[in-house]
Amino acid sequence: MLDPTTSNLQRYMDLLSTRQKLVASNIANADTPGYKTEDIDFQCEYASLLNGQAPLAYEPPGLPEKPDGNNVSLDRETRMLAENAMRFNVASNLVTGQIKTIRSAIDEGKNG
Amino acid sequence: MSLLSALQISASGMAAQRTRAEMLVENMANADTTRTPEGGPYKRKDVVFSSELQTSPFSAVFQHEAGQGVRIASVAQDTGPPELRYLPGHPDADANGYVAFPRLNPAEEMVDLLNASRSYEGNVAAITAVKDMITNSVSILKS
Amino acid sequence: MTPIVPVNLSIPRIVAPVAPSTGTPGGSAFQSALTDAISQVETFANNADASINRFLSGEGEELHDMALKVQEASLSFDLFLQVRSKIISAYQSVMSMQV
Repeated sequence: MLDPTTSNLQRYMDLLSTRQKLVASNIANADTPGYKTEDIDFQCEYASLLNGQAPLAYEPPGLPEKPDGNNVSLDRETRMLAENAMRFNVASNLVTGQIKTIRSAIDEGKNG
Repeated sequence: MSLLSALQISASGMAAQRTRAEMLVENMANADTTRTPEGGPYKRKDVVFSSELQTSPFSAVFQHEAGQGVRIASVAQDTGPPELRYLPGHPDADANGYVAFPRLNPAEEMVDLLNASRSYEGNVAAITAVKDMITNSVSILKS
Repeated sequence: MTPIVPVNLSIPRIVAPVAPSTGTPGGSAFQSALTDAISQVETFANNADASINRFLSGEGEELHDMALKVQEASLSFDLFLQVRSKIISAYQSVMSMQV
């Protein structure tokens, strides 16, 4: 019913949701000793478009470590929070627009 | 569902930071407490964070998904020797005129409190962002 | 006088694409078009129901995935209603033709 672009957008939104959950987890554990920042390799996961399979979490490299082993950067996480939310907003608007377009195409046929 | 369980994670973060803040405020309020019910001066308290898998009341299965919340594993009390100050006239002075004060630095506690506040705000921002994403998802149903 | 020999002209003909109906022309082409449409609607509706149930029982279905499946089912149903009216009015036009 819905075209391949929509199913790409759906996968995109799935990945963004998982990523945002990891950001929430990082922020909640910003002061947990020994906790390492978690993320997903977004480009890799989106390109492979594995349907139904949960994306793999990994530790992004290059984050400075505090004396207690924690490497969460609140600045990075806050930035990720905003970016994920914005991208999700774009994707859901695109999808909503597509549905509206299809619906009006169907409804136009009523009078045709 | 990832987004709904993210709310649970952020909520756990808020709760943990609030407990931490309460401890710090208690420390600061008792910076000069020389007399406690247990005897001796007030002992500084510190919280120990530990990450924890969250279970939501709505989830059917224990999800081994990525992402963990946090909890206060324990509250540790300072076991070091108290700070001794020479105040012979003080009601709690010992035979040599020394009074045992809590070993804590109010300035450090204040800085810690600011960090706790910043972390708390981070969790609040996470809840707001996730809530917006959920609202966007719901709006798909209205198209 | 030479006999007239019939000429075999092979004129290339443009064959119209055949409509995907399996039955004999007439009523059952309409019928199978309707049946196909109905079964497609049913598939989308079942997917949507399964998705809703997974979401409600907390089994990890994402909200936006569920919303998309629900909308897909809704769109296919709308389309079906339009197709059905068209098929029925086409059938009625054919039936009312003066022979």
